[in-house]
Amino acid sequence: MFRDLIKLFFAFFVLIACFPPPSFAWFGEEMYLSENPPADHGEGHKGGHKGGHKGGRGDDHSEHRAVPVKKFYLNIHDLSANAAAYVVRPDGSMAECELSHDEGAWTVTFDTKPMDGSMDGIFNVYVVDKRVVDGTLLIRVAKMNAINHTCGWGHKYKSDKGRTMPKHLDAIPLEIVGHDLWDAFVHNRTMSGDNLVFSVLKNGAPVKNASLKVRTQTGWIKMLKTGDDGKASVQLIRDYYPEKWNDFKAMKRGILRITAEYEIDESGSFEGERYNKVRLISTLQWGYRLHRKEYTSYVYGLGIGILFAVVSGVGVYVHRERRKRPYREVRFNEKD
Amino acid sequence: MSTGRDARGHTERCDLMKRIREFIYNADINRFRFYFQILAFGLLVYGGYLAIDLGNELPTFACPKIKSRGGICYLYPLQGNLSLIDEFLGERGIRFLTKLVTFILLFILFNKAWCGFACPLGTVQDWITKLRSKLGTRYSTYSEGAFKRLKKIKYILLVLLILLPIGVSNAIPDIVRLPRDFSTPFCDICPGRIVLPIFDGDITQLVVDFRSTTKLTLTALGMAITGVFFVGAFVKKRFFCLFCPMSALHYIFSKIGILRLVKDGSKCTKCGNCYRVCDVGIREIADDVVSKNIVQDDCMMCFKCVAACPEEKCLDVKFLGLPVYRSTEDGFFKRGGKV
Repeated sequence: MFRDLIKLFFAFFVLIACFPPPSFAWFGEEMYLSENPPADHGEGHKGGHKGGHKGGRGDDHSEHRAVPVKKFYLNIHDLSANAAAYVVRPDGSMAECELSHDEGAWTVTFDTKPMDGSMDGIFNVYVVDKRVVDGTLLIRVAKMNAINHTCGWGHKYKSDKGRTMPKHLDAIPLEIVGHDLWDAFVHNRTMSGDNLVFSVLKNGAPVKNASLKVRTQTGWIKMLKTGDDGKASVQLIRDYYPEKWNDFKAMKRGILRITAEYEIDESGSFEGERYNKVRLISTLQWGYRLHRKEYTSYVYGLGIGILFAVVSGVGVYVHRERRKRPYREVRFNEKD
Repeated sequence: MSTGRDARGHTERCDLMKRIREFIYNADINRFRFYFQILAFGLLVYGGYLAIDLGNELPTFACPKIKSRGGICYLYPLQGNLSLIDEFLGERGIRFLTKLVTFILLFILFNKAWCGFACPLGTVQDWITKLRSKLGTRYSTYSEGAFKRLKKIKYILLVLLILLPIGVSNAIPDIVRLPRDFSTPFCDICPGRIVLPIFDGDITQLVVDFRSTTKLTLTALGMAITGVFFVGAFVKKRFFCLFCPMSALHYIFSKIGILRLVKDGSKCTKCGNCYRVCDVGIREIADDVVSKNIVQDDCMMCFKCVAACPEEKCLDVKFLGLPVYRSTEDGFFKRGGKV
């Protein structure tokens, strides 16, 4: 009996090792950038980050209040020596940015200067890491779209589509591009329930049949495949329903992580190590908010508006009727 | 010989100037204002479609909730900045001062004519008034006592829209911090936020926001005010202007405006035409024969009073001290003596 149990456990572990659940097949290899250190990952939705103690101001902080220097954290510690970080600025210029290990994590630091509004827009930040693992060249890309905007600068680029549209970098081995994630005013417009469209590009060219995983903090996962144009679309789930109204946080920011994977049968050598397959994994992290429909009501709004219009209309009518003086005929006797 | 030609040329120029002046003074300012309002409305509500951005410091209602807007009302950034007053020692403070100075400069250029000629919410009220007139419904006026009581509301609203956002930042120690949802309290109750985006096909402001008790209260109040706004604007000319905090803010800087409405009391016969045509119902325009600068806190500088005045040079609109529109006997009769 005991031997049978051991055999059963052994068989189970062999099964797990050979056929891991598909959604987590490459979960451990993901490299992604985040606004918070690795220990805090996944906590962003609980009231924001910097300044989150100020009654939820923290969530708006990163989006609508530009800072001269931005720092993002990587989730992994085993970064290769060849790893490099790049930034594409809103004006299209590109630069290599600083990659360092501090605060117990790898960080990417870049400046958003000058702070005069000329760099108003979206920064693309990339970290690219390459290594050979078990005869496979593993190329990992972490991408982040960073909003550098303050409404105080105005919205002078709102009609400049070249400036506000999502950019990509041809040098990136595998890149995810999110469409319509922000509006022409450079405000994050992504909300739960939205239909989101992502493109997967390999060195700037669309990739057909790439695997795409969309994942929210609450654990919702959607697996997709890109079409001929390298695009895939997904409707974001609405999954925030606290039990009590007082617990409801309309400005709660959810984190969305998109992971793309693509494999190529290609042989070669990298840093002296042979490989016969290339595995590309790319991530993009983005924030989203609750849809307004979750916490607004047209019925109550119009109901109150119409009620007050009717009451005030009736009030005016009654007031006018009361002030009407009865007609009195005055007769003069012309003979008098 | 040349002296005679110069003299003739000078006389011709003088004649031309005189004719231009007569043409302007005799013009129908109401018609001009009607078309100017349409132009300003298009610019402020749809200007975004033409890539027009007049900035965030406009001394008139140009709601930031309109996606196609051509500019933003100053009250919005004012409240937003005050809610972050604890960060004023730095770039934010400089930005606040820059915005305030820009607002003042824009304001003194056209003074309260921003209300009479440019305000989109005022224009909507004027259109509702025209509709009422077409339908033949009579309009209401306030009694003098009610007018004096009601006009104070705009100052109360102005004080609240300054104090409540400051309370959000809790810059004053030992005072309870207000919820973040109080950062733009006036915008939440402003009918402009609800009415103006509709002209861009956006009805998403016609809602009550349940995100918090504060937002729920403010947006419900906003919808209630909007309901009253439509009825009020229908029965009373420029109904909302009497309660507008922007008008109260204007009045603080009105004295330094370079566009002025000047009255020569010695020529006034107190006929009352100016009072009768005044959309807001300012009695002083007829009664005050002492003051030269006749602009009151409720005045929106529509200049209907000037057009309705039959006395020569009694009311003058001056820009940098130069008359740009003036009451004339000829003008009064050419306009058909309409009051």
